[in-house]
Amino acid sequence: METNSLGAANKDDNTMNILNQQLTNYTAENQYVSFNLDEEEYGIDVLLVQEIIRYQKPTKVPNANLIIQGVINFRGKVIPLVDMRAKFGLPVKEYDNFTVIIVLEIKGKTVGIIVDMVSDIVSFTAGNIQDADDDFIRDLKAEYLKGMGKLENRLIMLLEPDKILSFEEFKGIQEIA
Amino acid sequence: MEDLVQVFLEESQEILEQLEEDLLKLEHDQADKELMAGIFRAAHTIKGSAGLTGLDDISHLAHRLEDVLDQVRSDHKVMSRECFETVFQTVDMLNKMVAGAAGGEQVNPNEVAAMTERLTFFLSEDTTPLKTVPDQVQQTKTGDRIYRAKLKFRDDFFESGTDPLKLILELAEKGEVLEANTRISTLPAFSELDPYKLYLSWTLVVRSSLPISELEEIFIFVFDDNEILVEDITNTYDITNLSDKKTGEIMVDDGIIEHSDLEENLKKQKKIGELLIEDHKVTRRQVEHVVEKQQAGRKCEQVNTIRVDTKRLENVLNFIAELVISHSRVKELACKQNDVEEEVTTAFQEVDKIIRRLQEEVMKTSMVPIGGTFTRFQRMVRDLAAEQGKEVELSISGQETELDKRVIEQITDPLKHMIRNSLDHGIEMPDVREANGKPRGGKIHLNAFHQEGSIAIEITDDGKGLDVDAIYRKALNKGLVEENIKLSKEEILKLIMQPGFSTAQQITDISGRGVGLDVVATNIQQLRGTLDLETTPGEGTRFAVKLPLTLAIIDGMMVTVGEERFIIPLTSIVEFIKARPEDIKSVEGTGRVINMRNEYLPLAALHRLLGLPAEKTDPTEGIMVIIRDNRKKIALLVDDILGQEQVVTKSMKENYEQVEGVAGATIMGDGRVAIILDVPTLIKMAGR
Repeated sequence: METNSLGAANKDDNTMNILNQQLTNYTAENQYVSFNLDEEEYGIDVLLVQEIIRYQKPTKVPNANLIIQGVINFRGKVIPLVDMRAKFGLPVKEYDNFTVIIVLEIKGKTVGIIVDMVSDIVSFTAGNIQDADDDFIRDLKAEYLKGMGKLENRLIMLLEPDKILSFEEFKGIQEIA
Repeated sequence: MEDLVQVFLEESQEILEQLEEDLLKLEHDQADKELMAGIFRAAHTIKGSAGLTGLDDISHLAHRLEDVLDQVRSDHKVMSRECFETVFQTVDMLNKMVAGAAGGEQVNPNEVAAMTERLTFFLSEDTTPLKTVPDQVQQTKTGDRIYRAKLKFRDDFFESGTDPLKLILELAEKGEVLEANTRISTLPAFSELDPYKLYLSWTLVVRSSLPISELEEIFIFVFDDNEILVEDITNTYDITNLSDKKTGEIMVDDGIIEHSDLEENLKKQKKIGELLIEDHKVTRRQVEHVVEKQQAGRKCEQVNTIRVDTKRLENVLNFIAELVISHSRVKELACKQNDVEEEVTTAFQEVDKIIRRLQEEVMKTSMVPIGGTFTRFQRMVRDLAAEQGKEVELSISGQETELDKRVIEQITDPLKHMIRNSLDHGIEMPDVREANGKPRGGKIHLNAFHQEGSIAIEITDDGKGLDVDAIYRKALNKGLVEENIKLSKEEILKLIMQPGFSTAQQITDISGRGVGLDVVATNIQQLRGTLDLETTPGEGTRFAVKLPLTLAIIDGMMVTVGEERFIIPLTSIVEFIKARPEDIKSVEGTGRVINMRNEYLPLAALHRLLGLPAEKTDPTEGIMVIIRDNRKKIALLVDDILGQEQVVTKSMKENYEQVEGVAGATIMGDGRVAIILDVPTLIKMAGR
């Protein structure tokens, strides 16, 4: 059991390192870092990704909504961590050795998102991306999507970055409570 | 091109600031030609660079300003009060236009046109408002004019049969002779004196109610062949101004000597070094050495500067902080082994020291002298005093004192308000002052200096002081104090910093707009500073502000609640106590209170305020931290105290949002984040 989890951590660290290496070289559009949440696969624009770091326990922020796990130190800056499972209303899962933080820079703000695991960097041709339309809207989380990417047998939900940063909905919840 | 505009915008703000400062000085001393030249150059520079960057509106207005200034400068005219007013307003408008070009609110072109028109008025020939008599000159009140007659006759003047003395006596009949000077430096040695020649020339200053033509008439027959000049010097004649002038200059003005005499003799004047050498008090080498040092010193004063985006500096600071953390991690790993060589540990200490030095140096780069802010108040005091009919002089010292740019930005408004307060409520009307045996003009003094690792700023006025009894009575009326509680003088004075207290009798434009000293006190506290005041009835009031050198570092006490660590700024902590069960009482409606030496303080638990789990929820088990803002004290329950810590503050807002009760965050030695608490909002939250 002990060796197993250690092995998983090492493997995960390797993936992270390779991805971080690749990140520094990627500049093209339509490239996405793909990650997993629950059973689904998501993608976030590679240009927004600063770094992928291992999960670390954040410092709790007073009176914050559950979606904000807390704040961490990232290169000397204090940045908030958003739990993507909580944000999308997915079932809660214990953080494990695969859990990572993807540090994004959106609209001049740096924010970390906590995801189950990262897989790789994928690229799509424009034809392979289907815009988010009414078909998705039934789903609650559809409002965070800007489209769907098709890659062989994978279906990757591409995130609308601006929406990740909006904390308004938590405020609404807080006020009701 | 964009860059060019950016450079212009930054530069012109500085130039305009300097321009205003110089104008204020010029208003006091119009004879200062260097000052005038500087002002003229400033207008010229703005005109030129605005034109270059395509900001034609600014260029045009600056051009017109330059024209007016040029006329004053080259014709040696005196600027009237209205002229100063217009020039000041032009500078204001230029400032606004620059701000507009930088993306701020645009200035209405009609207003600019109107300002240009007003400036043009001072240029037209038939209106001579530039010559309007400044009202402080006494003579104008009686309608008398002051004339100066310079009389230099030809040396063969006697041959014309006219007696120069007769002419002078005739002139003396026209009014009162204020001064009569004879130039005797042209007299030859007695042996060479030719009795048929006239060697002397005269300058007379006469006060007269007659027009200048009547005086000129006396010399009507001698005007052509001789150097006769009669001029109206009412505007410039002011004996009190002479104190600033050099003896030689006065002699030239009075006609006792001429410029050529002065220059000739100045050339003969020896430098102090030469004189000392002659007297064998020092050697030539010693003098040369001192002169060298002096020149080296003058060179040093020219500091080279570059502009740097503050964001970049912050990044550098962030990386240094990271370096500190990484360094301690490396140190820990390297020193874990048992047989670590001593050299390794000393090397680590070395690196430690260097990093700390580096950190300090970078911190210093964001420090700026407070002088710029101080001089900005000159203008305000000038305008406000004029508006209220008071005579107030603002003097400044300690302008070179440096502090964090962010502190300066945030202290400007509170300072402004305190100065306004001094001017509005402190300084009396001139007549009242005179009746009380004080000089008509009041004084406000601004001073800044370093004190025990912080910055002290003092605002002292020589006004009427505060009436402690009146403050107490008013506080009683407003229910701010209870009758049976005895207060010291200091405690009573603190009352005026409480919300809802204002001693202003009438609501003016300046104060009494609802913001009072309480807002000032709160703002200062937010900067983790303190405000004290002292007053002596009839003699004046002094506000003393104490501020941290920088907002980037704070002294705090680290406390724990559950698993989290929090920093409470030390300036807000009164003391720590361990509560006994009998000290805690429940009060209906307001929750629990704690009895601290017969003073009942509201009790709040930090974990409740912040919505976090805690280890100790029973007030008698944890530790009570007594915190205060400028109005209230409360007891705050925390799990434990870890100790005092100096921490570097980080913004929470930068990447997240403002959180109630949180002032910011810091990164601890282990790389983890700790939250810095904001005491005033915590106290507010506890009150709900």
